[in-house]
Amino acid sequence: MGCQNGAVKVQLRNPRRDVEVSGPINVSTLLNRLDLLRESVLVIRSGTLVPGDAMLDDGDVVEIRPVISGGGVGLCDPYPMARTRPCAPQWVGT
Amino acid sequence: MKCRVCREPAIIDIRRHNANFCAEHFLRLCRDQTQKAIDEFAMIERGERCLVAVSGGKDSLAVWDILTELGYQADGLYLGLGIGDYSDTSGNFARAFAADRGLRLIEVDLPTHYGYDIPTGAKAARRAPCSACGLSKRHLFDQAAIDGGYDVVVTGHNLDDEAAVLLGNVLRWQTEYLGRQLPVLPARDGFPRKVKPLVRLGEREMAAYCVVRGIDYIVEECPMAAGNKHIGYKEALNAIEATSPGSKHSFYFEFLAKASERFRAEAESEQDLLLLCTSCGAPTTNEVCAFCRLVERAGGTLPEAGHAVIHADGSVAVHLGGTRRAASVAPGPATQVPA
Repeated sequence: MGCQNGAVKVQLRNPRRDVEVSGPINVSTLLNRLDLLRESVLVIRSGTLVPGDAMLDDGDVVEIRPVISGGGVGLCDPYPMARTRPCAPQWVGT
Repeated sequence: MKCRVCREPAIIDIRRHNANFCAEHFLRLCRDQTQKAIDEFAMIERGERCLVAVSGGKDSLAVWDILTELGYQADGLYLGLGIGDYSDTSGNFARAFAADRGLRLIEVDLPTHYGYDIPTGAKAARRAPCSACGLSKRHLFDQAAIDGGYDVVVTGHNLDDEAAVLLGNVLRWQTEYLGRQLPVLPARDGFPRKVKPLVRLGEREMAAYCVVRGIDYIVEECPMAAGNKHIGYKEALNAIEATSPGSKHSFYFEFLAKASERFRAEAESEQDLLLLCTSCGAPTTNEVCAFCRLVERAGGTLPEAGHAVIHADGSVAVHLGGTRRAASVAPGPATQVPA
């Protein structure tokens, strides 16, 4: 998948936006430049995961997909109905 | 980077394992870690019927896929929350996943069957949206599991989820919650057994698993959850993990090994207080359970009786009734549940 203007096209999510950076550039360096933690994202090129040491070249299109999700309340509290404080924080799972 | 197992080019690095994996061996790792969690915590016996809580997100679809790959009998239950386009999209992912694999998906839609949605229900009940959502999910998944005769409810909680919840509970010393933050919650007094087979796998691994397996899932965050504390705790833990790989694993599993038991008594003391909801029969400490109060405040309705509709594509829509436990315990004044 190519980028017409010769840069590495980076697609970001939440919110969706595109940025372009000059290649070649290492994936880890790209994430550092975008101030993203490697633990919090995946880098995907043409539907395939790209490891941290991979080089991205001008014309590459990559998606940086966030992996953090979830609300603060879960399904695994066995006795949630027993609470007497309806608005109390419920840190029992997501 | 090369795969630790076969030395072929790797697609993912997992720093807490200090290892890289190719696609084949990464999938094997995910399955092995899931099976290890199931065995280590005695989550599921072979032949038992599992009901997977499916949201259309990466974790629930991944755990459903892995359980199926491991040979467990697992149906899915999708709960329509009425959160606009987000619910529409997530439901489509869940349906597509089930249809592609010939799996059975049960659907319950809050607006259709209970007359309220999460945004309006939360506002009416003066709860945070995530609180109203979690309350509704827990109640309806419990109910569906018992009504459907399932042995166990499976959720897609991963290591990051559990570590973030633990951090939140520790920051506030929510000791009763700490006492029951376990990978397995046994069946008891009208609650089905609940298990979290993904506790040995991180959130990034679950997203990667879906990419490698070609599982489409909803990537967008729930608009109701944006900016909530839980996500903030995950980000904080990831910042720690970046400089100290393995911290999340140690935080959670060392808690289970060394500290969890210390809070068990406080969590169990609440069990003796359970009554039966006079409206729906669910275990509760009050005359009417929190779910029924939520539905009432939201202006919704509890159906009188449950029934299932099987669609042409094999999916099943369950219209849940409000008499779940009335069949075995007559409704009426609140009754003490034997400990």
